[in-house]
Amino acid sequence: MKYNLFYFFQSALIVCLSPLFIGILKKMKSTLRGYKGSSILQPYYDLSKLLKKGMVISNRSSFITTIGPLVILAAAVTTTFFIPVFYTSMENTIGNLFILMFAFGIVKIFTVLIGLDSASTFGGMGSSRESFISMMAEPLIFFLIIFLYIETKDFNVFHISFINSKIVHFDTAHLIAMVTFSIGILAENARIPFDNPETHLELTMMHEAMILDLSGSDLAYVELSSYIKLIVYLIILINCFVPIGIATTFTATALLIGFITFIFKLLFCLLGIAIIETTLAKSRLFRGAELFPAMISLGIVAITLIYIL
Amino acid sequence: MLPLINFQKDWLSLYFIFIIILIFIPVAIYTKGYILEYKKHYSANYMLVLIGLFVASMIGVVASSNAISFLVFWELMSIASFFLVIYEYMHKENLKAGIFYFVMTHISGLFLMIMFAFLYKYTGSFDFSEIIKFSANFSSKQKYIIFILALFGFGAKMGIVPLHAWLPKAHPTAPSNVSALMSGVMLKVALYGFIRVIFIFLGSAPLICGVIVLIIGTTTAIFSILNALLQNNIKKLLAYSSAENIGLIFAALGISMILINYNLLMGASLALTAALLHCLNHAIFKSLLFLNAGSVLYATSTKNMNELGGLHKSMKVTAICTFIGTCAISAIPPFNGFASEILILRSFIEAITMVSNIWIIILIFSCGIIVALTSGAAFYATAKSFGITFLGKPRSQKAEHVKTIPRSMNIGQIILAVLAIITGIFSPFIISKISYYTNNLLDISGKNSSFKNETEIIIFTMILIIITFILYMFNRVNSINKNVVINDTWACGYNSDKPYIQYTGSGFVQPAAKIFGNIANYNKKVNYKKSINISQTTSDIVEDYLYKSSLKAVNFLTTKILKINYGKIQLHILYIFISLIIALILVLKFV
Amino acid sequence: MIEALLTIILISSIFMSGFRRIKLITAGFIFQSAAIGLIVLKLGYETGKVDYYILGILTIVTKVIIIPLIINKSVKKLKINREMELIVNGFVSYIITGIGIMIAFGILNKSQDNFLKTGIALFIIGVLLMVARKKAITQMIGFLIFENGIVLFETSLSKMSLVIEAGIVFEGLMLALIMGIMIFHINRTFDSINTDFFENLKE
Repeated sequence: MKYNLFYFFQSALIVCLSPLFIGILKKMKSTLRGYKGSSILQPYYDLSKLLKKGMVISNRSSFITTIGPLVILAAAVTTTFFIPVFYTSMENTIGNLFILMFAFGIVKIFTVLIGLDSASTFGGMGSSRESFISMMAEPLIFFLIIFLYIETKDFNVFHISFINSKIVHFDTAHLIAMVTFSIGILAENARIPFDNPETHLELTMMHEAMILDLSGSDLAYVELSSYIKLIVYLIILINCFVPIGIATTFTATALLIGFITFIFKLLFCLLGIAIIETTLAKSRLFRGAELFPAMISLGIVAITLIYIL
Repeated sequence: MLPLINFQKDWLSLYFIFIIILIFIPVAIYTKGYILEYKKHYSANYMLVLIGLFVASMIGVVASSNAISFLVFWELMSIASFFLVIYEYMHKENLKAGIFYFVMTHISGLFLMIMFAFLYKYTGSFDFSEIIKFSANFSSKQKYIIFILALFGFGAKMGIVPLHAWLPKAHPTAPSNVSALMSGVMLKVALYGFIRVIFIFLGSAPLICGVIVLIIGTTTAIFSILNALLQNNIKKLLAYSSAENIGLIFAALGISMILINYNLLMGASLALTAALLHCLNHAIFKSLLFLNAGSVLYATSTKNMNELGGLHKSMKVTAICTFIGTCAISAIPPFNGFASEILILRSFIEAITMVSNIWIIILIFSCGIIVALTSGAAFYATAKSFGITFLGKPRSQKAEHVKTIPRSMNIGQIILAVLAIITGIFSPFIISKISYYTNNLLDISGKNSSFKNETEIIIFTMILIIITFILYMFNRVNSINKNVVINDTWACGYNSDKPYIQYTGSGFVQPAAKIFGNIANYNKKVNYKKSINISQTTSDIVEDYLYKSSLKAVNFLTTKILKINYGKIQLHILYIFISLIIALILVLKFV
Repeated sequence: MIEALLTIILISSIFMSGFRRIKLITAGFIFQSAAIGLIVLKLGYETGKVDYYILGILTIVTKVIIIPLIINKSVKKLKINREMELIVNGFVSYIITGIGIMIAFGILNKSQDNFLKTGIALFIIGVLLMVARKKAITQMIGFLIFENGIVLFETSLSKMSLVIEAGIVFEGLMLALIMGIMIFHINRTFDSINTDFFENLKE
């Protein structure tokens, strides 16, 4: 089991740069809406402000709130070590897609239990809705793994991006699977149309409701882990479905081209999320849940296209 | 010819004996403390003797090498478990649940006797090793008959739909350590029987048998977990969750049977290894969860989740052990449920790419999507069970006055929790051991390429621990001068500090109840006569539609047959003579 | 190119089976008909027959321009714009669509012809919209989708006759006009176009 040291460098880069990308997302949203908005580096200032503050802990909370935020951040950082960013190869290395997807389960279970831990109505409400949405989103993730396995016969993310980077002509099953997975990304990361990440009103909260009672450095850890989670999901989408330009050899030009195309593709995805968040509204819980069987049907179409057409 | 009780040293028997003893030791330690609750009203020696008899008969079933001793030990196991289920005989409804369980387990015994009779007829021997020699010579029709009998016989004991209705009645009424043994171990003994008959005796089964097993397994899984979501009784939720896991194992066995039929033996070995690994893991974490439910019952004397809450302060060890059990059942890495869950999902995915018949691909794909949905729902159900019971504020008086738990109960739980972690982290070694034996079973020689790269989970755990440690150090350094205040919950300023503003168990699953409520006959009635009152009830729809109508049919038939019975003794002697003559004629004709 | 257009047809039909707002259903219908028109035009470009060109232009003119105009005018007169209660709710209709497409593709696995399979998928969705909805407008759109399916089905047949195709297209146009007028009259008599009230005609 080899592990190239360069992979470590890539992953550390992602951990450090993900608040920057979230800042770019917020700036795009504010530009589309026509106001100046906060600066790109604002998430860094927010996190350092939170780290400097003291904490208020509820007298009803248990060991879950004590160790929870730490473990959530640790799990999110660990997943960054399992994905390729702009350099990949066919070596025998870590990066099993199952471990990656289920490692986000660690984040999910701790967040849901922190919501119930605070003994308030908002926490229970957020946990209940979040568990419901992610129960319906599990078949989408499973469908993604099936699709990638049928295409490349491999479960390792590094190998999948290496094999897919040779493709120049994308067939339609691929594009449909990409659309399906992007809806899965929106569901798992609490974005519109499932949840509004900007408000703190009862009607429109899911993720924010669960972490309502955290403060200080606990809140900083959970916020950073949600930034990392979104960026990691977007990197999986980019590197598994459109990995054109990713560096497959360890030469300087290939790495430079890989880095530039990666930044460009990531900015394009963030622009897509910004447009969706500006134009659509959060849908009601059950109307949003209706989107899932639609996506499963799309997925069925993609699988039949790969087999038959 | 006297049937000698031989014991065989087959790896399958040894594996299941290992599971039985592994679970029995912590449960025995737990029983030492748990029996104190029952000392006042019931007899403690009675329970200890019966548990000993129960475990000994289970070991006898798994180790026996001919049909007669198998059936004798099976009967002994059924009777011992029946007496254990009705241990608390002072509550009348326990007797009803016990009698239901007794009838179902004897139906399974009846089917098993018929199956072994047919095996004797086809092969001429009761001994397992001789039956194995005949396994290549069964005709297709004989295989169908043996398969149907095995499905009903072992299925009634395993709890697959539609023969599952006794599970949510019998497992909650038994005392908790007995429930742990029944749920964790007895269901696996039925699985052992099924695997031995189908895979070892029959070798390969026709395609339709594998399809039936896959469909029944998936139906059991989705039906049970949707029923489990809507329960408020902790032990009933866990009983339905056991049925769901048995459905998952059954579906994996179905895939293995389909792949053997197509001679794709690599995939079949993977699916069989997944099923066997999940047997071990499910035994560990389900016993752990039942022992935890027993501790909660001991401490607060209620099983209803909506009356509990905030138990993490008074029952620290139990809370941590339940948390580990919840993580294990929701397939969180690096606990043991994760390893077997991804093996089962992998066997589904690899089967899709290996098979070439389009209808089988469609079937396996649909069942795979439903299995993914059940794993999401299992997370939902057990998060509810842990969160509502242990976290938050106590919701009633019963949760505030908590008895202390004897140390032996805690030790039993801790042993199982540690086992869950160890089998999770070292799962690659266990998988390679099991796969060695399944490859031998299916006669594959050469290297097994399905199981490479399994040691990733160890690396993942190590990285996770290192990063957690680094962050913990950072946190310590960061919070040196910081002010940590412990105060009431903020809740956006809307906190009135009453316990009923929290979510209840039924409220937590309300979105699922709205969409999937029909599967569990979910009824919500609001009465507003004198005070406003909500009652929410669920019931098992298979029991309502299937069992009650068949019972009505049987009642109808008995009223008709009753007319033959006049009560005169001469008529009864005549009936005995006639049936004796008929039996003699049948025996002479068929033997 | 043809494959991408077929995929647009399938995706738009899946989404249409669950929408409630009539504007969205009409938008899906426009996408579908435009894709069918483009497919027929491309077939004409490949084989060079004039019949295909004429058919393609006819389809685009009627189904993309004229029929949505009729639907929008009717919607403005009736002042309804969405369908609230469905006989089969949104969740289940998506699943039925998915399973239907899967089974249709499974049965027709042997034939290589893509248009056949997509045509049958459109049949299923058209029938679903006709049977599982209460408002008459949605049922009309369902019938038009069914017509689209017949057009696709027929392009897969080897011998194609312009007369039959043109006849079908004009029939669809006439149907839309008649339904538009009828719905207006039904609304004036019953004050709603919910087909539940049609049952009162039994007595």
